[in-house]
Amino acid sequence: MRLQQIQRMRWGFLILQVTFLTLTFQASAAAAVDWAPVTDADKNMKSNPLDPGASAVVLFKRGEIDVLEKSSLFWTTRIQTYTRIKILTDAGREFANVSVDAPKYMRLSKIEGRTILPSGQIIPLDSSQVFRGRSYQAGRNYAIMKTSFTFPSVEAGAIIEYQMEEAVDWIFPPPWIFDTNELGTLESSLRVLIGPRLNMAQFPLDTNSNKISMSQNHTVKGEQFDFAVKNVRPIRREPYALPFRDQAIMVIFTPSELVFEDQVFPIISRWDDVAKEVSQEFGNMQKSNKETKNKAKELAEKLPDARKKAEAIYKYIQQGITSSNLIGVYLGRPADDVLNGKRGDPDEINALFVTMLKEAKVDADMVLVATQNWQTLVRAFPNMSQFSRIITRVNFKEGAVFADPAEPAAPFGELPWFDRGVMGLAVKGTKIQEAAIPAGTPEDNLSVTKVSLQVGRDWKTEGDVEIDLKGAEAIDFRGDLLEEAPEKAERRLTDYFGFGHADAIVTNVVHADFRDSSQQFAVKAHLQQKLTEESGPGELLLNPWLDDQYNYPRFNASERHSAVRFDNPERRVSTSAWQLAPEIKVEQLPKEVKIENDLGGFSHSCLQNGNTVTCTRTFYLKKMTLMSTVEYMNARKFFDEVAKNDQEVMLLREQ
Amino acid sequence: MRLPKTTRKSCFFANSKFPAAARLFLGAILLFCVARTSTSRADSAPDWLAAANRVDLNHFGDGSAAVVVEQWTDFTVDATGKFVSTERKALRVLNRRSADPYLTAAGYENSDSTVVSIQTWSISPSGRIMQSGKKDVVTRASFAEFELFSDSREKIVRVPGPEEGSLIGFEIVRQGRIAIGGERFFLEGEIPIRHGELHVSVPSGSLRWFVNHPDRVEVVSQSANAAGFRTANRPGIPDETDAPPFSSLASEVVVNYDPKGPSAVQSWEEAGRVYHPLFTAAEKPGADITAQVEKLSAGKSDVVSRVDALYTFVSREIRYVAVEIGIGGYQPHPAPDVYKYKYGDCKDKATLLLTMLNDIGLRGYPALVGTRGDIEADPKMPTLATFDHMIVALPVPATLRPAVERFPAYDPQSQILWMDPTSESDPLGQVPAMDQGVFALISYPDHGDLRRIPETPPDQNGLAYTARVRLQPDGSGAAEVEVKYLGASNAHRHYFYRGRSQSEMRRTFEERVARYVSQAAFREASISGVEDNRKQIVEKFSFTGNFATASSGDNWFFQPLFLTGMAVPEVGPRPRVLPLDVGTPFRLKGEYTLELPPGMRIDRVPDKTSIKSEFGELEVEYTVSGNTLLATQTLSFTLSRIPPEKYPDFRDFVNASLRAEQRRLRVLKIAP
Repeated sequence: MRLQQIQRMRWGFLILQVTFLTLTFQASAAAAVDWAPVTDADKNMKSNPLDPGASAVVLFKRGEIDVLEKSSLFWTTRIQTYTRIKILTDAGREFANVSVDAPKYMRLSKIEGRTILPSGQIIPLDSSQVFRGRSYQAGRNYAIMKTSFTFPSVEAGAIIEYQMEEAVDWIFPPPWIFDTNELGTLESSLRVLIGPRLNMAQFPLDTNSNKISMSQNHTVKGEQFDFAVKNVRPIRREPYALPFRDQAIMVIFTPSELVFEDQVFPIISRWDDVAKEVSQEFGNMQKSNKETKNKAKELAEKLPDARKKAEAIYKYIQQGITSSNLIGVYLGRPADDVLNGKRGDPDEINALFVTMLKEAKVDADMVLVATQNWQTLVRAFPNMSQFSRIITRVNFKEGAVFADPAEPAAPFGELPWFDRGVMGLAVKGTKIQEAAIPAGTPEDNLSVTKVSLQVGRDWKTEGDVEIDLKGAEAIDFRGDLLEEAPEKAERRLTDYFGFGHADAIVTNVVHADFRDSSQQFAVKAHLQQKLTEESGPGELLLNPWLDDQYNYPRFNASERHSAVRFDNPERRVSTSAWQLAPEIKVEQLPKEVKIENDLGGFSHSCLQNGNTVTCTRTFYLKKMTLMSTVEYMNARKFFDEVAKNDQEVMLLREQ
Repeated sequence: MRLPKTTRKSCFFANSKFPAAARLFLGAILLFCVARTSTSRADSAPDWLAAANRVDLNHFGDGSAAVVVEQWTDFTVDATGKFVSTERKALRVLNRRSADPYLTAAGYENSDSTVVSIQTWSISPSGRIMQSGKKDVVTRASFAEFELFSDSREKIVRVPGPEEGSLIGFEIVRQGRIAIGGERFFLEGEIPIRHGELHVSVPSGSLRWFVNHPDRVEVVSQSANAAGFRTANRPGIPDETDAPPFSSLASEVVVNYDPKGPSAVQSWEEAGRVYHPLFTAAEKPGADITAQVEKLSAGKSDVVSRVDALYTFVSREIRYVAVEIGIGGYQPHPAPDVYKYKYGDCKDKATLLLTMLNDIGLRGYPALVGTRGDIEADPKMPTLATFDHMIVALPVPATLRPAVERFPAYDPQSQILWMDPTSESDPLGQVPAMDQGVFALISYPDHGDLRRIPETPPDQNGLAYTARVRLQPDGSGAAEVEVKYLGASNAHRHYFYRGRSQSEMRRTFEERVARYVSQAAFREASISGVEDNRKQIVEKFSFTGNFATASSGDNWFFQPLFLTGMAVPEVGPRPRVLPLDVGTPFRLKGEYTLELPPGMRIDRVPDKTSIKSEFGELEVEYTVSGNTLLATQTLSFTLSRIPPEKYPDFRDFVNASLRAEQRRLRVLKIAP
């Protein structure tokens, strides 16, 4: 949630300090709650049918969201949650610890819980053991409250359950997630009640394996929607998995229309309404932009063309303004604040970039993005909560270029992997325009390693190493180095060129200034090391595939839950030339290998010319998403093959 | 690279052009979401900062992210025990990006102490001054990951307007009370410090202070109730992996005070006595506890069995849940409450166990521990401000000693049996690795005693592999493996397996066998001993895969000791500045029986490898009998911390061990 201020809370600092003391939350004694009967099946359950052997299972999770007009023009959203969990083993007791963070303006009006022991004894949650305090406060007026409690006397076989009620005076319910973190859920349901004068768009997002059932009824209080889903398996951590929000089962909401005095007022019903909101925020950002404009002029006015101007402004922002890296879209600070404070959120930094480009007469738009690591944009459902970032589209005459100056390591015109391959929505005044951001090709993300080494008869090697990176890996590596102090960055490079050999001596590391992302990411070094894998007297095994080799395959599991989404396409080429001393003979070279499929390709080969052996390894990945089990199993097999072939060695013998 | 944080900001309808009617009822909400006001420019900086801005660093700290030009801390305690701490720091930014972690002013507070003011300035190389305002202050909870709830929090200000070359100034004023009458001050940091000063005074009382590195800290003034310290031109503490904790490396001044009398703590004996009343207040017997003790003791004739039952009950049945509020950070909750709720933190669990032990006639005592790698008490620095954990020290009566001598957590010298009921996976007689080899302060009613908790010897900690592999002519094969765990490794494994579902177990093994051979296919596994911490975990699993790691014509190479993976830190080529912590001593034993396919033989059976050093031993031996290769390996590490001057030798030992372990042998076709 955005760091906001609540102006009506103009309390003095002293009072604030007093209220800051940790408070014990006192549940209202009058607010007795109804508990659903505990069935024999609940009591007797010994194992999680969704995940045998699991330490706990959610028997049910029930939600109620009421968005009702309490009095004329005074709307309240009330969110009730009722969760019942069966503890199956000692380890499952950890699920008896509950912590909830919520903005302070979200009123926590009820929290009750109880432990039902296997004996049937019921132990209520002691309200004095419910703790509440601020976990975050920005300025004087915005706070996030943490409410924490743990159930008493929890043991294997026990059932724990709790009910919470929160309320807020507005009409924007947050997304409802049917899953429970780390646990399987047998039944998960949501009832939504919307007051008569409000039209709330609702979009159920289910999965292939779990479908949401939905029904709608007209009631006296308003329209009632019931959503339910059964047998929700826990979301696993898997390599190259989709982000949580793409795997979770959700309903997302947007209030679309409000009726007042017999007139219908649209809120968000089209994507253009989103554009209006963002443009409005952008307009507010311009209320203090004098210094921003002056800086833009200073940077760009003497430059000859739009690209040069854009690059100069990009460089200034990228190198001078540090990103908080915070996900989300809300432009709340004036442009000059971001400029002078030299800090900003990624959306603010991009909006600043657009502001400066416009001042320099370079056409540019903000582009709303649901990044790869956040969620896939639901194009059919206009709302704002889906976006995690704003990036910039610079509209040159020769074509548009996407840029993100909040990423400190990305050259102008290149994007970090999470911004790529998604559908962006460009804000053109009060209109939204689709802006597909290309995923790129393997050649856009190219890693080239070249090594030339002399091998002496004592198996000592010496020579030069060079790496050239382009695209995603260059951004990653440069970004890592930028966060290190200069001395430490040099040490890191030294270790990198040692290729994991503890006795390597790396000297003469040469590279351009990492801070300047327009420079090619190329690093050279001199390497000395002793080859040590002797398989017998005078006989040596030499793996020539350098640091590119896979020691283990990328996928190991025979069962896969999430679709696979690789970060980016890539191509990696490593070439090593081994000039052998006259006394050293090659007894065996690795067999030539070439594998091609729809996922990518792999090849390696070694050629001998006189006493020099040159080995080349190439790997590329071109397919980004694997949706089916068959595709996953094929990918697993492919990476197995690659890992196996990467173990192949040269056999050298001293004469 | 930094991935975007998952914390989300959104206030998506703020300042929108809603229809007038909608705005009417949403007006109050919109007020929540207005823009933050800006950080202001200032005409001038405080004198101390302006003076620091004139200091020429003359290449001091080159290569670092930033340099502390000047830092001053003034700490005063009045007769009521209230302290006021004023901290000022002037810092020169040498590299903007990497300096970012140091460009945040942070003041710690909790229910007993508060940040009265926090202010920052930045002076750019061009002379522009930016000053933070109250609205720039962010407060955030500083819960440790293991805490369910805590009142610990910090006020922070991210310095506005920093640039490369900027001088940054912080001023933080805190006040409050410290229950244990002691505080720690670091005079070195992660970045170089050109000049630092600390002044401490307790005008109405007494003061005792200790310095861990007198060669790096100058005492500039001292009296019965005040002292001043100075440090100059100190390099940053290097950031090396697997090093001892920062608090053991940096120059530090510990101060203990008595606000209105002469009784400031000056020894461990006093520190233990001063703490004891906090414990006594919580160690209350209760009828329910007594009944539980009787139930647990029933039918157990010997005392050690009863102790085991009580320890196991507290360890397993009382959940670890930490709620630290105010004095609760130091004082346990009453034992009857902990028993009633069946949860508590380390202090609570230790206190309940002590209460229960008392019920069977054994008098144990609370022992404060600075855990390994975290805070580690320094024997030269007596203070209560150096602990983060509590365990139980049980002086063992003479009649019981023969029964506990076999326990690695029994110290025959002090005749103390250490017990850590916070651990849910260590059996009686063993403490977790985080307690081993560090100092603990036993708090007796009338004195304290600082003792080193023993480390488990390597023959009682580690694992033993037995593997049987049947190889095929093409290098593929089927393996059956048995792994047995001991000591801390066994406890880790108990913890690891508890609560894993069948699908998680399968995934775990699939990942594991993929590290042993290529094209691995896991078949099946069974694990025994999981539920009882006293039992040894025994894993049995089988898999198939390609054991040939390289081919050469009709021949192929394979690595007989394929269950590799030494649990030691990676050793890099660069020399170390700091000691290397390799964990508690351990031993690894492997016995591999590899059945070769008919018509094939090992090309050359290597000679026995035997390496002995002060760090440990390695023995690898291969023997061939018929078409079966037997490979045995014993590797032990006997030292847990390697001084930097011995690091090259240690690295050689590790590398030699790795080479021997990873050796590949060639399998040849026998000529017909």
